[in-house]
Amino acid sequence: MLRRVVGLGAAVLLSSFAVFLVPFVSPGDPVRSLLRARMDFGEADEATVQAYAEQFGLHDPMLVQFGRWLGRFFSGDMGLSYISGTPVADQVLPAIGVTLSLAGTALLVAMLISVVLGVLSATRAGQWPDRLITSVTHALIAIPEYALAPLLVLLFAVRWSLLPSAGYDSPASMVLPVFILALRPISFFTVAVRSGVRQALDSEHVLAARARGLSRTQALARHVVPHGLLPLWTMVGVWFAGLLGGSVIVEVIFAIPGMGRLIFDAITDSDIPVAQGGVVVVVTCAVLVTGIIDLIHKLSDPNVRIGVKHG
Amino acid sequence: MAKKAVSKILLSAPAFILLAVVILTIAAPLISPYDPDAQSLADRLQGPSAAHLLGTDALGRDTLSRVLHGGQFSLSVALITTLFSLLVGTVLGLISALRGGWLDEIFLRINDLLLALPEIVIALLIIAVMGPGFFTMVLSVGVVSWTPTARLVRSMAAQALSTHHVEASEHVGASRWFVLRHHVLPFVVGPVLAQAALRFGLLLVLLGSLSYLGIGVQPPLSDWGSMLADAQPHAIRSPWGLIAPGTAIFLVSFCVTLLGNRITHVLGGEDVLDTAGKVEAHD
Amino acid sequence: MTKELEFIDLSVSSGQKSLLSKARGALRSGELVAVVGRSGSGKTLLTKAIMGLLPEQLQATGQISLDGQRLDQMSDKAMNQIRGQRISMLFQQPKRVMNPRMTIRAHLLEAMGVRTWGKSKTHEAQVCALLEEVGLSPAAQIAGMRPDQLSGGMAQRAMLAIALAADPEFILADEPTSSLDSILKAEVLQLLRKKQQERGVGVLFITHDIASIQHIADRVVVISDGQIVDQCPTAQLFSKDRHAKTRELVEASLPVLRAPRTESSEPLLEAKEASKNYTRKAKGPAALQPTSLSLHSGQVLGVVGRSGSGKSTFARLLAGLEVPTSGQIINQHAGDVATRVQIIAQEPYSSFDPRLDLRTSMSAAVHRLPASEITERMSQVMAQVGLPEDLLERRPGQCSGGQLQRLAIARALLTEPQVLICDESTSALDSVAQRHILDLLLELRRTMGLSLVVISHDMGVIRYVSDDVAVFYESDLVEHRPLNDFLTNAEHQHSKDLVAALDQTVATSVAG
Repeated sequence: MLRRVVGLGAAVLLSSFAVFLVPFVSPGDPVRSLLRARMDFGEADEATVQAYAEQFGLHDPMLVQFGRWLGRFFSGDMGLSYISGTPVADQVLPAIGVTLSLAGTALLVAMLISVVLGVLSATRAGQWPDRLITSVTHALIAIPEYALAPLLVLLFAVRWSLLPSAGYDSPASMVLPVFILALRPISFFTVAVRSGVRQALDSEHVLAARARGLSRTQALARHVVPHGLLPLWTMVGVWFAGLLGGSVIVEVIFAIPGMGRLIFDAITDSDIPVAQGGVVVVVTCAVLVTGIIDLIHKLSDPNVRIGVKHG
Repeated sequence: MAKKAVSKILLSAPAFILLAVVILTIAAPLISPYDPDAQSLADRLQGPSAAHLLGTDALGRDTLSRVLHGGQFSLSVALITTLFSLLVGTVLGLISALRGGWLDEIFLRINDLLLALPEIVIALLIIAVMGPGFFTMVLSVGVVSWTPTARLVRSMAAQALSTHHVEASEHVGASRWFVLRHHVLPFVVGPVLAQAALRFGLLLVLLGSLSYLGIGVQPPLSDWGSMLADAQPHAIRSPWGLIAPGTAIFLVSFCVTLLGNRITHVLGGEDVLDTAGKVEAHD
Repeated sequence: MTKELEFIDLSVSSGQKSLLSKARGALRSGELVAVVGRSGSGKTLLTKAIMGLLPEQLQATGQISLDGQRLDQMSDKAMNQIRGQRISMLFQQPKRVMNPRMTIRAHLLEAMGVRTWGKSKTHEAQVCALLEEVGLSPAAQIAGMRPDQLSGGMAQRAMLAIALAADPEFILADEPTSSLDSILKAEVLQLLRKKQQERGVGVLFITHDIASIQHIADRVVVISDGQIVDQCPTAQLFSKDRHAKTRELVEASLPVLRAPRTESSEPLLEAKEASKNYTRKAKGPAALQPTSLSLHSGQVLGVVGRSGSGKSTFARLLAGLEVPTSGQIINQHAGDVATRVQIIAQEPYSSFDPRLDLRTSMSAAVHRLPASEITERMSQVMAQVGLPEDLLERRPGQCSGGQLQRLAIARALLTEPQVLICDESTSALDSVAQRHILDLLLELRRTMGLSLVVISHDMGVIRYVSDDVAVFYESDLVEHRPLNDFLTNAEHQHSKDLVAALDQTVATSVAG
């Protein structure tokens, strides 16, 4: 368990370092780039720039600068945006909130739907519901969301005026983005649930439960489904992390002020501090989420808690 | 028995469709009715007609020709990236499983790390540093996409190596090479190929999204992703600009996934999307 | 009042293939009927068919009546009332069959038919009473445990409690003792018989081991290749009038007197205060305490102990698969010639790669030799183990467990070993196949001068093959004597328990 925590911590550190290095490896003078993130020095001449550089310790060894930068970062100072001159933190923090809610809702919806579909598919294996659901899950992952989204907007927002075409301010405006974001997770989750339930169905637990007098449905609910859902927990963590940045397309298409769009805009505008801030926050959140889900999983498994060795 | 399996995979609808698409795209210069870049402002945003089977785009360019030519870029980038991730992932996964020990541990940690990070974000970062373009697309996506393959390979190889029958073989005197050749590789090859098929489909969509965002293919070249970006503002007048390239991506990706699924079935597995069963949880 | 569970012309088939054909029989309250047959004879299907729990691919025909009521004509919903309440089941591997996330209490409540949540005093009292009845104490504490926390023996008792929970009229027991060691086996058999008689329950006891039911069954039914071929009261089991298949099963369980080898010869393998500790702490529980023992040429050493007693660890040390934490294993003889040791494992199907044909699997031992020599050696060893050579072209899935164990021995023989260690190599086989393997091993000892280390938790096996017996108990070697000495003069309490269990579970030959 401890190793996991250390590993995740290392992940955050390493990615932060990689992000920190960006000004140093991009074209242009790193000193000026770093300075711009701290203050607006306008058209100052070289001597003034150097003076400021001395003041902020911009010629110190890289690791030292990294340490300082990291410290400042996690106490709230993420630098200033090149474009607007305002603190990066003011842009990043609301954005992460939006993305977290978007990703979270999408995953929740995906989990609910996939449990239903997965159980249905597993219990009717080989018959038409199973074949239909399996075909659909394979098709869903192949859909390019940047083609589907505009088409759906065309239908629901323009033709039928049912839903807004952009923004993230009302429940109605959440429908399309969440739907599109949930498509791929639904596919993978459904397959995982189906697989887990199938394995549980084949196991002898069910035979023994039925021998105790439980009906098929009761045996399913008490003995099969809980086992079948196990693989889902591991997947959710990874997918949540993936969706945090992976919602870029959806955010861009629906003009949602989330992290993905923020980072994308920052990179296209070469607004390095915002990009750095965004990436580090996303990585940290991804790592935290994965860790928390892992923890919940371990705590909820009674056998692990008591420390029993499976033999 | 192997022949029957291979024919079951290759002589199938998805395989035929894929083959057709590939041939059409390769033959694009020969068979497209128009020059894909030829503009004709008089014929802007038309729907499908006898003259233009898939209609025209905002600049009057024939959509069909553009789809055929754009496919060359989309498919080749996806293919190269898939092969890259397949190669790197397999080699690294095998080495990690065979060496074991702390090398394996470190490798798994790095893998975990990469898996926990959103793919697109890393790709964006790399593009930020290196600027957009063909090579950057391959590199940025390749850097993260070998991870699932490596994980799968390492997992399967480690599993194969820890079985009782491998221990028995080694105890009677089998060499490392014997174990690798007979016990590990056959176990690993099939699932890896199936996963590669799946990965190709996913990468096609991902790379298309980079082009859509404008950081993938650069003008004057175009691919299916950039076509979708071009068509979006005019979608109300002519949704065909969206439908044509979108369907192309969907069709190829879907067929490739179905092929991957066939491979998995032939090997006795249930579903190519079922990675949860194959990659063991570990601490 | 005597109730009767009867089946007439019960057949089970999978498509065209018939697995059980026209079985007829009756079970009355208060009697224990044993159904004995080899693996694959169709005996397990009998229990599942009666309960209506056959897998979907199988079809059943025939009549099944419980006290006049036709079970085969009942709906699934109606059967749910019968299952667990009037007829319950016992299974072979309790831990596999119980839900690892549910407490024992939860299992019992489920079996009792309680479908509501929340504790009730009456129910709790019933739960504890049941647990105490099967000898599980302190009941309240055990009720709160999960299956993984119980030992094998405790789990088996818990399963009996679950089967008894709703006070059924009949119990169908599917090989409940087949995977238990001799001592546990004796305990569970006695307990089952006791409860059966106390409660007047009718028990159908399925097994491959005719010796185990000799002392507890009222009647015996013999089944072979899906057909019932013989039935008789237990007392008449050993009579010469019995069907050929019955006699085969009986013979496989009888002990054979063998002249013990007493000639001393050079030690081939020696353990000198060898111990093994898998944890890093010096004071942690050791898998094996310092043990000294030597193995001589042509000797058969029987190693017996319960699971976790250290016997398997010892085997792995002798085979060179592990290195001792302290002490040493000397595997040289006549100065400095290395002794070749091979080990045969328990599960035949996991010893071979299921994807490879057997010839390729076996070639692992000889793949460095020139091709002509490889073929020659393979023919040679196949002849030695008595198997046809064309078996090599098959895959493991196409062979029986007995055949695979022979192939494992053949593979070991390819390396021309001097010592063969058999770690529970017969435990996964039925009694007849077990005998065949043991006879093969003894034959190899005779013709090749092989030394054998036969490890088993089954005293019957140990008695059949050993010259000397070594007993492991709680990671320690507690007894090491020649066989006859062991049977009459064992000193350690555990040894005495083992010998006592032998008398109860292994057939004693009856004159006539």
